Amino acid sequence: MPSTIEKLVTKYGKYLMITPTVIVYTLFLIIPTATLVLLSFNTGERYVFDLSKATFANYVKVLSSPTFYKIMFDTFGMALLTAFITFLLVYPAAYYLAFKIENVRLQGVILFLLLAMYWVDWNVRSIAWLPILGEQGIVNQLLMSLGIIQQPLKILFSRLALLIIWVQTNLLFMLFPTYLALSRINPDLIHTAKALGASPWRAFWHITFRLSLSGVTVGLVFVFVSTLGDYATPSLWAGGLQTLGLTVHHYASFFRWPLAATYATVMLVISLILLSLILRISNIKRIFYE
Amino acid sequence: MKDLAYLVKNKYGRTAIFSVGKSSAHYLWGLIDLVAALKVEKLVKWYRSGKEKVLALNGISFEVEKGDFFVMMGPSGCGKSTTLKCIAGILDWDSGDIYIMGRSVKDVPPHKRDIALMPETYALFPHMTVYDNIAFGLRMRGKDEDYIREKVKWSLKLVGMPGFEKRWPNELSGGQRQRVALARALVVDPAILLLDEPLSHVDYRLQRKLLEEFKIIHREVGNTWILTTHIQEQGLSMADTLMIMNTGVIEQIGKPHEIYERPATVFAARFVGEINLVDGIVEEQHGEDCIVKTNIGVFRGKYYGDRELVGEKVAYGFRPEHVALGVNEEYNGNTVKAKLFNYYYFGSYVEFMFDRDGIRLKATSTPTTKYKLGDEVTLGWPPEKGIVLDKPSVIPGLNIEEVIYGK
Repeated sequence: MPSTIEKLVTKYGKYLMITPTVIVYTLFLIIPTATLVLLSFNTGERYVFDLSKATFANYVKVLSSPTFYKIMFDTFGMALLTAFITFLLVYPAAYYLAFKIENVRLQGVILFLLLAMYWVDWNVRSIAWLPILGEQGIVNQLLMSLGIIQQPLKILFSRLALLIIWVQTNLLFMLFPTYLALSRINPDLIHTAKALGASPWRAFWHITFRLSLSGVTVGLVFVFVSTLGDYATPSLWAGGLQTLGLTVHHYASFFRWPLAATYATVMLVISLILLSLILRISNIKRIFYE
Repeated sequence: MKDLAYLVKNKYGRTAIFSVGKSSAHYLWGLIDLVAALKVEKLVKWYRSGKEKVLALNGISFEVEKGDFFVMMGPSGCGKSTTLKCIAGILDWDSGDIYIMGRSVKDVPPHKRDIALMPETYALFPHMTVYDNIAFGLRMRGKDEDYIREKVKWSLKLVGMPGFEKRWPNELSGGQRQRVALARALVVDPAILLLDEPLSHVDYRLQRKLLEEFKIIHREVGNTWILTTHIQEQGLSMADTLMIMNTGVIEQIGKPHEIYERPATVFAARFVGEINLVDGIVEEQHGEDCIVKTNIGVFRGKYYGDRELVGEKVAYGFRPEHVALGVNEEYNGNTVKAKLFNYYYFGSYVEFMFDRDGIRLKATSTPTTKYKLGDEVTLGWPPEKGIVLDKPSVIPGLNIEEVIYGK
C-alpha cells in the first residue's frame, strides 16, 4: 500500500512543475492588473480601493470626452499600421532567408547578426535617429545633394518619424516568427502543389502563405502589443501626438491614478478584443497542427 | 475543332474515341502517336554544394510505355529519386532531355507537365480537409464545383475511403493519408503519376494490403504510374516493367521475371531476390552452356550474353529455391557438399544457410525438411538454373569478387 503522501505526490506532483510560474504570474501580473481594474472604479487620488465609493464616473468621463476617441484612433491606428508595414517589409526577407539560402548554418548566422541590433541600448538607439532623420541628418543631406529637395524635410517629431522608428525597432519581432513558420514548411507540399497544376504564384498563395500565417500572426501580435504599450518612443519623436500610453503616463505622473487606471483598463480591453479577432481570423489552432 | 473526335491511342495506352479539348501541337502528337508516355534521354545530373560535385545521374536513357506500371528500384543513393524529381520538375538537370507524351519538358514548369506527384511524405496540405486536398488539383485547373464534388467522391470511393471528405489530415492514420494522397493525385487524371517511395512509411501488413490495392487501382484507372522503391519485394511484385539502378546508371530494365531469371549483371542478380554467388573461371562454352570452375567445385550453367568467356573470370550463381537437399551420387546436375550452420523457419518454408569453405550457400525447402546444425548435406541444382554472369555491374572497372562478396 502506498502511503498517503505517495498518493498525494502521484496525484498532484505534476502541478509542482507549474507552481513557480503560477506564483510569479499571480504576484506580478494578475494581482497588479486586478488592482488596476479595481482602481479605475475609484474616485479621487487614492491607491486603495474603497468599495463603498465604487463608481463608473471615471468611465463616463473618459468615454464621453471627444479627445479620448481621437487618442484611441491614433494609438490603435498607428500600432496596426506599424504592424502591417512591418509585415510587408519583413515577409519577403523571411521568405528569402527560409527558401533561398540553402545553407541552414548560414541562415543561423544571419539571424544572429540581425539580433546584434538589440545589443545596443535603447537610449543609444533612440538618439541615433537624430543624425539620421534630423534636419542635418543623413537622409536630408542625401536628398538635398541629389537635388530632389531644396529645403530639409522635417521628418523627426511627426507621425512619419514614429512610424519609421517603430517599424525599424520591431522588424525582428516580425522576422523571427515568420521565418520560423516558413522554414518549417515541408517543401514537398509546394512541389506537390505545383505538380498538381498550381502555378508558382498560386502554390505560394494557397500553400506557403497559408502555412506561414501562424508565424505572421504571432509577429503581428508581437509588434502590435509592443507598439501599443510603448509611450517612450511617441513622447520622444512623435511631435506631440497623443497616444493611450502617453495619456496613462500623463495622468499617472500627476498622481491621478484612478483616471490613469481607467485609460489603462480601456486599452487592455480593446487590445484583448483585437487580439482575439486576429487569432480568430487567422484560424491559428488549425495552423499549429501538423 | 473542340468536339472533333479522334480515333487515337489515348494516354492510357488504350485505343479510344477521343475528344480533343486543350492542346498544343506537341501534346496532341503525344496522344495520337505511339510515343512513349515518358522518354528519358541521356540524362545527366550533378549535385553541387560549394566546391563539391557529385554525379547523381550518369547519362541514363529509358522509355516508359503508356499505361505501364513502371518501378525504379535500387539502393539509396542510386539516383531513382533524382530521376523522379527531374520528371516532376522539382530538380533541373545538366544535360539530356525528358519527354512527357512526346513533348520535351526542359522548359516546361511543373504545373504544365500533365503529371501528378505523390511524395514520400504524402504531403497532404495540413490546412485543408480531405475534400479540399483532393479538390486542389481540380480547382487549379478551373473545374466547376459540381464536377469537383463528383470527382472527389469518385476518387475517395476508388481508394476505399468514401465519406472522409470532412476529415482533417492530422486525424487520419498513415494508411489513410497514403490513400488520400493517392486520390488527390489520381483525381487530376495525369498522363503520368509519380510515386516516390510510396510504401516506406507504413508497417509491413499495410504495405502488403496497399500493394494489392495499388495494382487494382492502377488497372482500373489505367494511366502511367512511375514508382520508386528500395524494397525489392515491392518492385518485383508490383512492376509491369522494372528498372534496376545503381549509383547513377541503369543496371537493367525488363519484366520482373526476366530480370529475376536472366539478370544482366551481378549487381542486378543480387538486388532482385536471393541468389548464391561464387567466383570462378570459365572452362568451356558451347552456345549458352558454360562450365565454370570455382573453389568449391565445377558447375554447369547458362550464359545469356554474347561474349567469348573461356578463360575469363565470372560469377556463378543459382537461386535458393532451385536447390534440392540431400541428393545422392545419381543426381544428374550440379552438386556441392556443405555444412549447415543456420536455418530460419518461415512457416510455409524453411531457409537453410550452408557453409562451404567460407562461402555461404542458401537453400529453401519445405518446412518438413529436418537437419541438425553441423550436418553435412549435398546440395544439388539443375544446370539450366545456374547463371553465369560476366559483368559485375554496368559501371566499368569494378572488381567482380568485390561485387559478389561485398556486403
